Amino acid sequence: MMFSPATESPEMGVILEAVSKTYGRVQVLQPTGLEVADGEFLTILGPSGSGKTTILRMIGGFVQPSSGRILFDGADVTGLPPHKRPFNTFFQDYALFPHMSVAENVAYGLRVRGMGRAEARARAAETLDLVGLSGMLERRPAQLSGGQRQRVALARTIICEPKLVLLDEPLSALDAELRHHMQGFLKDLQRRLATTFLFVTHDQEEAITMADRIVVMSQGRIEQVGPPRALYYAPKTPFVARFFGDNNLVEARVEDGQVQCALGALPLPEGVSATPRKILVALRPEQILLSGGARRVEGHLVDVTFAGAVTTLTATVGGHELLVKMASGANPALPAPGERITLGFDPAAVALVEIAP
Amino acid sequence: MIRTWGEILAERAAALVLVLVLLVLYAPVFVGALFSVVTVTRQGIDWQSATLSWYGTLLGNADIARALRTTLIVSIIAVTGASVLSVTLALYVNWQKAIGRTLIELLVYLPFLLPPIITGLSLLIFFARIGVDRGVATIAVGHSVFVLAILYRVVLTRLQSIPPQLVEASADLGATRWQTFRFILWPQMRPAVITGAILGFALSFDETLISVFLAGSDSTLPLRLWAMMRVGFTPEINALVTLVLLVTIGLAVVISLRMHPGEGRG
Amino acid sequence: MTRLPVRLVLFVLAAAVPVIFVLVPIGSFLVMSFWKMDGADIVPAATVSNYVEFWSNESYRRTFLFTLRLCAGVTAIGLILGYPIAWVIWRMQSRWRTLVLLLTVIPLFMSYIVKIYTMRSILGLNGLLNMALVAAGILEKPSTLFLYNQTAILATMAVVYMPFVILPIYLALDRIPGTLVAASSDLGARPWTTFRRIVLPLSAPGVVAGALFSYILSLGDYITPQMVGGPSGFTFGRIIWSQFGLAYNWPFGAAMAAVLFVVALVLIAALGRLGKLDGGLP
Repeated sequence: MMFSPATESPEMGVILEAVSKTYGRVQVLQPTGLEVADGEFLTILGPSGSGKTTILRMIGGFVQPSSGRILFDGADVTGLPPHKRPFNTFFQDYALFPHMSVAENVAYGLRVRGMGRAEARARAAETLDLVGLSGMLERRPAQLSGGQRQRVALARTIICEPKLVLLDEPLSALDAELRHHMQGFLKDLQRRLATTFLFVTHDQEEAITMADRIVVMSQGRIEQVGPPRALYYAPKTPFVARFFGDNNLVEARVEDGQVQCALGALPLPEGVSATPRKILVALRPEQILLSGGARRVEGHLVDVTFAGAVTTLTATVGGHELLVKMASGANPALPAPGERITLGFDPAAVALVEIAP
Repeated sequence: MIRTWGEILAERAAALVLVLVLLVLYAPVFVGALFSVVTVTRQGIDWQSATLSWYGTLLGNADIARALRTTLIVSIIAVTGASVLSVTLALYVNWQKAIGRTLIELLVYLPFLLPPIITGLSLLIFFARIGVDRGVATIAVGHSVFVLAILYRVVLTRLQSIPPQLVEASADLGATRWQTFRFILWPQMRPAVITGAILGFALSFDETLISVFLAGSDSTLPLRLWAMMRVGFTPEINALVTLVLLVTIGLAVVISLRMHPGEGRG
Repeated sequence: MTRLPVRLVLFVLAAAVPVIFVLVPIGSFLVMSFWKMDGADIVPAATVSNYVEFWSNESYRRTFLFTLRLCAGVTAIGLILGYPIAWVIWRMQSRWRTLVLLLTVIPLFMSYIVKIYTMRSILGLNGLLNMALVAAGILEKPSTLFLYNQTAILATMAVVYMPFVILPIYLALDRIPGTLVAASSDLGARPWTTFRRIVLPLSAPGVVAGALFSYILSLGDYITPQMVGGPSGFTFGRIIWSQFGLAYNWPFGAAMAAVLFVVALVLIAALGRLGKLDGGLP
């Protein structure tokens, strides 16, 4: 195996310290700190304008931070140009050199470091096999399909065994089927290489299926960092709560040591401040049950939609409209729209979401 | 992107070359303007003699007025002819998926790619053979052929960027070919034709190498200038030179403002 | 009525003007190159004597080769100075870029005659260059070395044809996607390596186009040599021109023009291929 395993110390990855970026009068990235652990698959997720691409480009060396530092393995790399950084970037448009063959493209990183042509070519062939594209060595990029070009770009990015691979929305141009396939492929590749992958995307499903940790960004700020499950079930901001799939967000108030909302009075979890204030509570539609559940509430059924594997119900409870998702059974015992309905949930599953002051 | 000091050094050096070359390229403007107001003697520039009176003399010069008129007539005819022709050719080439497109384009671009001396003498021989005397008409033809290449390129590029669905929709709604042209295509093409026409006019205005072959007794302004130049330097010539430069620079600025940088010669 | 005749008619109509005023004139001078002079008259014939005359006359042959070399020099100067200029404009921020590009394009519109005239003013005995050199103490008195010789032709032509070189190179550079340069740097290439392996090859079509323009146009230039070349100011273009002026030998002029025509066509065809080197940039 030609690729070396990741180093042992989790602190020695890329560290961003209070990094910000301003263009003219517009601050596209607020002072931000981030630590990337060695060997992890970290996804930076956010809509366009969130600053996610800016972070990627700053780590790559294409954009100078307006303030702050970037550290790698303890050393300050903020002022280093891209060719001096041990990172490689996978570009959204692949950026293959049109005047070079596939082999020359892939071998480029090795050749500019002084490796001989024959040896570099052999390594290129190996790497192309690794990404599942063999036998195209002499073709030009213009003669390849989109998917093939992508593999070439991938091979070119990993052949130099970078300490960090930066991927700038690599799958957004692909159709759904190819996308799913490539998601699995990239995840598998990352495991095999045991290299740190920094993956930028706006697609929350993509992030949630591939990442070890997700950094959710919005409007130049990090909203939350954590493993997919934590972000999904325990969102810390309204933005994060709404970003992944469907969610029920209900206004609530912290009063007398309890949380009061349309779902009733809920216990205040450990460690959460009891200061009286307005908050939101979040409950996933699939966590609301027709039968069972530690707490039951009364409401009215508004609508039922059968969507194949999942059936969606809309119901009003305590004046608030809730979305409920359940697996479609063969004989659903559902009341008719307009009738009363009883729903159940587990109070411990309800996430408390602070509203920013 | 973060630049290394090596890159910055290279950029500075190239910028220096740029400045020096620009100074030389624009020297005619400064030199012409300078020498149109002062006189030069063996001892150097006589600063005391600075005056604008030469511009006055210039304006009273009948020869020059005549040459200017000839130039304007020639250029206007040439540009008008080339405009009509370029629209026709562009429509034909784009519309019909035409036969002979390569031949037509070759013939259109040739006078532009070949040295003007060849265009000039080929037309001279041609006109002599068919018995047409040299004059304003022959100069105008020479200019049209040269200017056509530019106009054609500008107009064709614009035409090709109009989505074909517009033409289809127009036909679908019952418009004749002429109506489609008049109401759909022409309004979109017009800005390009105007830009190309101004461009062509500027180039025709100072065209010399072809005009030498095709001018009879009438002189265009550049030809007049050349004749005056052979005699010697006078502040009057410099005054004319300065004015001509200011006009063409003005036209060039107008053109560049109408086009994106990046659409130009070639 | 079938479609084909209609299309044919339209083709004939559309092609009429270019054919009449471009193809036929070219044909007629090519034909005339095989004619000869009989006293003061031009006489139709079918002889290659003009071509033989041209090639066997040592002075004509030498002038032809000299012109080929001279214009190569003009083009070389244009490329050596023009490429860095196009490159630095390409590297500029967009607000500067537009302005400076405009500044380099405007000279294309400045009167040709005027440029030559100005070079005379600069290079002449009472010209600016001499004045500056004397004032700086480098020269004791004005020198005649700068004007009315071959160097003056070279310098003047270089000034006249430089803008023709800069613009095509800039356009070619502008077509290179920025991500390619970023990718090269990302993969570890130092700036010079990126330039050598990526930027330069991809800008080759523009370099070829600019060189072609400069070379072909300067080959046919006949006014510059007269105005600044002095007694030794004979280039191929000037010889051709004088056949239609004082020397009055049209068939001979046509033959030499045919040689020039063939040279130009060969260059355009051959170097047009080189322009495909970029592998198909959009």
